Amino acid sequence: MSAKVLTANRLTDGLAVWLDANGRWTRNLQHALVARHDAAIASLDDIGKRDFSGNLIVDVAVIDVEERPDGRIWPLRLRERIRAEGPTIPYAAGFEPAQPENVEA
Amino acid sequence: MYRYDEFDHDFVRERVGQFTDQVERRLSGEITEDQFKPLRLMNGVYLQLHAYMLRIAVPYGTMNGRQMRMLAHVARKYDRGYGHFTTRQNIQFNWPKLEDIPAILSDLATVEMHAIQTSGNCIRNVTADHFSGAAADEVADPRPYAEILRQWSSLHPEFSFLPRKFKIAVTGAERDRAAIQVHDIGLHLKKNAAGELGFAVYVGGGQGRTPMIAKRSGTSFRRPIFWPMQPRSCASTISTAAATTNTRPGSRSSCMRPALMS
Repeated sequence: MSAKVLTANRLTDGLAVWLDANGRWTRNLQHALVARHDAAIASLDDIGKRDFSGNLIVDVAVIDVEERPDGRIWPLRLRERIRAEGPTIPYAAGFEPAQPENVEA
Repeated sequence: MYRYDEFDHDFVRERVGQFTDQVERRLSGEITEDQFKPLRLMNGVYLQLHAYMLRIAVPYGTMNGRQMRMLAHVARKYDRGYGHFTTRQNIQFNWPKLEDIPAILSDLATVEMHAIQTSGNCIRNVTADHFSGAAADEVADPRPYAEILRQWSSLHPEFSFLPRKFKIAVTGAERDRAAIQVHDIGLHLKKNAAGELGFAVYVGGGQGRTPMIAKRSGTSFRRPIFWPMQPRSCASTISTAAATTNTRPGSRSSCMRPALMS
């Protein structure tokens, strides 16, 4: 079984967020709580439903990740890696594009 | 260029007021996401990979300096300093906050812009050759016909809840710079041997998951343009016929194909 994290988009601004170990929604994937067994994954699901109903988040999903030797959380889907890192091209002054090493397989 | 009359101004202002209320009720939890989603789509608001996206109509790609400056204001004040002009002659802002969108729409309304019918299963922005009115190879300016179609399609009760989005493009030049053959309806202004103006009509084109090249359905030649009622009625008549075909039973069977090929 692969490890999982809980992700969503914030209702107020639509930005991608991940659930952290304090039960708060963080903008940084690397601070996400990693669930490694069934009970923990079920908890993620419950929290997702709770906070969706509580109008904090939308588009909730439990996604597969890998924990790399260097400690980084690595989503298995390219889509989720881009979602975590941001657009892959220079798109706006003051905002860095995704680093290729954080997105490419 | 299109100009709002008093009715248009009032309508867009009311629409902004309605959406403002809907956003407030969504943020307070009074309405759910399932209830809110169709409402936000009717006002051009998507939820995408990174953030919300607001798509604003630029009818057949025509806008003035005042509108451009307002778009720049929106980009600076509410977004990340840029906007994205699309291949279908809309502009998209990729990072608006939901709570700011009513204010954005209110600002845009002051320069006669809106986000109505830019998303969802309805007739979308009518597009035209970006060199309309200036192209040397043009037999007629397609923009008046695009404007007729815009007025005809805006909030048309028969076509507000289609099985799928529906896109129309018009060109007046021999070289098709409006890509009409990848639209549900493509109208190509032409003159026949007698010099009469009419349309070559293409239907069933589209892009996306199942791209299709439109089929030519025949050429309609009516009286020349100096009898403007004929070409005017022709454009909307053709579009009504084609869009009505799209609402026949069974046309909702596949959401993955262009509307008229379902």
